[in-house]
Amino acid sequence: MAPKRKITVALVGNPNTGKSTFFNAWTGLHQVTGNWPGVTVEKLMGEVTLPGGEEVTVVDLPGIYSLHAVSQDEAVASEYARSGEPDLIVNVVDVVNLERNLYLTLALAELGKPMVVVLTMTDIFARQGFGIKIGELSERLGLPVVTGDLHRRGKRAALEQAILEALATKQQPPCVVYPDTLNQAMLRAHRENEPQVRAIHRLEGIIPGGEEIIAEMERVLGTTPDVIMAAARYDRIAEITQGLVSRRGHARTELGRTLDRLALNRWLGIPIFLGIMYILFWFTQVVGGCFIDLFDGIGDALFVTGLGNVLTLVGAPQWLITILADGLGTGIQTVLTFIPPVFFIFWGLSFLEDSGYMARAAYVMDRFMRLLGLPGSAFVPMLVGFGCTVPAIMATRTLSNRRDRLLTIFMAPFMSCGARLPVYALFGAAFFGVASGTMVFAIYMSGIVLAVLTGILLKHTLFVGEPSPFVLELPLYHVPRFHTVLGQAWKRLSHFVFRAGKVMAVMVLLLSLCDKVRVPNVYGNRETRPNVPIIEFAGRAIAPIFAPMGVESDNWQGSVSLIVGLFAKEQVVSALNTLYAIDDSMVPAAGEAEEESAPLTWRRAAAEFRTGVGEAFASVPEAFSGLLDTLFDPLGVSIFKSDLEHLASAAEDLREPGQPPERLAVLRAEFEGALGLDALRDAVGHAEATARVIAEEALTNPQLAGQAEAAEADLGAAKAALADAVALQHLVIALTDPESPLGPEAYAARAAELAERTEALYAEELAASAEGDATLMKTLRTKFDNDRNRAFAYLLFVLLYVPCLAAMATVIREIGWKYSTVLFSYLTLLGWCVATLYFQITTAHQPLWLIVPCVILAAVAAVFYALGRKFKIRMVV
Amino acid sequence: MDITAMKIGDRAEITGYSVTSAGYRAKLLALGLTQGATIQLIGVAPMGDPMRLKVRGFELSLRREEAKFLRLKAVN
Repeated sequence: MAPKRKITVALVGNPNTGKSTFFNAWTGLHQVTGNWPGVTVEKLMGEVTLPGGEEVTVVDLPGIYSLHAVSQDEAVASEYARSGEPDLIVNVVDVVNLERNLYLTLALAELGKPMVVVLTMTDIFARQGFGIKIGELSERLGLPVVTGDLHRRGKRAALEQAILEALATKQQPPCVVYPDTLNQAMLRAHRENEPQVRAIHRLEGIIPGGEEIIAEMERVLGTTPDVIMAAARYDRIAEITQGLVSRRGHARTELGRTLDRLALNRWLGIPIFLGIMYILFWFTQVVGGCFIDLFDGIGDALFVTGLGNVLTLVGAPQWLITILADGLGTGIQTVLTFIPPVFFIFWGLSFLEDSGYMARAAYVMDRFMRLLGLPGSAFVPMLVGFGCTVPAIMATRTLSNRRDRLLTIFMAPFMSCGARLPVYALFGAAFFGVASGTMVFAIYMSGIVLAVLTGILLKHTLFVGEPSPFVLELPLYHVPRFHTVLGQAWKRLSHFVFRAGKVMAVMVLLLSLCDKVRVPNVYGNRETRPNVPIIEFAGRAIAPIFAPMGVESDNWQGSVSLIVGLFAKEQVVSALNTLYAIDDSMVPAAGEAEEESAPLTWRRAAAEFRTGVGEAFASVPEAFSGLLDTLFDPLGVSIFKSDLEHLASAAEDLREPGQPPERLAVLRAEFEGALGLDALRDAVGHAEATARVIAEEALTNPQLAGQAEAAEADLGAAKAALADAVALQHLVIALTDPESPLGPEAYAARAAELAERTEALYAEELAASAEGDATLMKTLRTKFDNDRNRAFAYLLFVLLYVPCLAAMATVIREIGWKYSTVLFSYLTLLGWCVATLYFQITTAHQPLWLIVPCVILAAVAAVFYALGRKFKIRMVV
Repeated sequence: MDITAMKIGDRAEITGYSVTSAGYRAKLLALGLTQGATIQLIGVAPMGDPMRLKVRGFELSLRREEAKFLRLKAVN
């Protein structure tokens, strides 16, 4: 048998032609991604085997309008198409814009490679009432023409047949007839032993060497050769398409025009854009957020607790368990928790792109974003940044120009993400009281202002050069195809998981080890705590750095928490909580001592696993039940109000008799929502399971009797809490029943009872949590000298310093080590300088620490300027 | 005349290109803004810029400042 023939096919076409859809339909799941050498443009390849056994590698190239490249993406496509690598070119042609697409077809045909033309969008074309004579087109082009609707019967075979035919025969595509002046210039530009097409490219400016002739023609004729060529090509296209397209009935684009009259309206355009962005944001953050606990729980059940238990049971050494379960397991779990937001943002973005709205958004916002030197579409990633920096950075993939992408990625971390909010909330409660809202607003605004200033700085230093000229096609609207959108989102997600995910897992692994591995306690009290985790050691070592911004050395917990915050910014809160409990004078805290626990058995591990997975799945409906409330609070600002506060206020509202039924229904829903019956039932279920497992084991192991008793007591408490809540619910049901038989007196009595019991519950809870919280807040106030400015300076630093590991890993994968290092250093230095300046100006007034930050900032600007001149971002404009 | 003189609804024929970056010119040429082609201004964005043009049956958006180098002749 003859060896299998290998064929390399380059897939070339205009942007927005349905090229990706065609590529996916053709190659299905057999796709590989890589990078083009030397650049960060993604290389997409697919494998297809033809019926005759030929192996076809399809290379999907970025969309281009001509072989003249402006951006990096276009350069990749043009260079590859012109290179000797592809055996055949498949040119995707959008039949709706036939003339414009054929411009590229003619340029490709001049390369003299075997070629097949694939027509896409034929369905939209037909629906608009148009028809095209495909046979005639093929004859006039001298190239095989097939349609790209591969899901139809026989179309795939026709495509493959056309490819083999193109490879086997000598094709005679149409020549463009250029005017004499140009032919003469071409003779002059031609060099020996090279194809004629090189001369054309030289005159077009695609390859160097024709500058002199171009300049001369411009002098003599008043126009450059490319203008003459383009006119000649379009004349040829007019001949080819003459009489090819027939029209049956009316074009039905009226709806599209109406949509554009609204979406691009001078007054409505921006409000509509903001509305759509709001929905996108809500969809990603809140709907997507409903699944985070699911992935988090499963990740824990499988890779952290589960893996740890299995390793313990098979008798693995402790260090291995620490590395694998606590380190790598936590890393994988972190990656998993980012899957829902990243998938949802890509789903939303793919939907907007496929519908045609994304181009409109870029058009509407262009003028505004140009102030920052960015194109209009860069607004979307910035906005997503208020939810989470990771999807924001991934969303910059919709920007085609590299400089624009870099600038946007440099500005995205300034948008205060949702994970930082709990930190603000804690400090708000401890220092700002009712002014919390204003304080949080000030932080968000500081981020935005610094982002704008950063944009202006970078525009003139690191990323010098004009933004690319704006040429935007406004494609036709169409209803997004479900599988296209989902497929696109899936592809981008897998890209995230397997590339950024790897870096992320390794980084979390390293930081987790720093949290587990202990070193001698040099800074603290060695008697009570001989060894401390590396994180604490490092945090105390660098603590003096933070003194100028108001975190004095006795507040080393503040600096250690910043390192813990690298896991995720919200962990600053829990770190402060734990660390303030460890005071040097204190004996080892309870959490520090080895917990005495029941010996692990397979049965117990299995039970733990079942509970973990069960809880993970239960979290989804629970999260969804609170979904509608968030429609008006997507940032989650209501964390400033607790469930019990809601409960108490609803009970108070119910005391007024004779309210309309609608109001009663609202109050009842509010009350039941805050009551959290489901959570209480879950708690009972969980306590029951635990008690049962321990009781079973206690039968064989008398040592466990004490634990079994404790578990029984927990179960009793959980049941009592549930019974209390159910009793309250019954009261509320009776009170809110519009056909209630209660007389006014009975109503008043019951309402009073409800209010009283809720109040009692609230007081109890407050007392319980106050004990913990109050200690934390009291310590916090002491450590920060009871100074609002000190606290605000700290929060400014939390806002600005390096993003969490997940965001860092994503940035590294997207822009490479060099630029990432620049970004992370810049963020941290800027954070330190801004926080220090704020603290020194408002409180400390030390001249030295007013000067140092200014010097640092000036130095940063100088370094950016130098770097910008040295590593000019390659722009082929 | 140049593009800034056009009002919404106006049509104009492209008579030539004055000096601009080769990359930008190449892109517009590929999109069919060749000598002799007709463009129509169909709208401007909410903040007055960019503009929306119709050329060869599709819609294209260009910035006022950048598209100034198109030499035009009014068409009725």
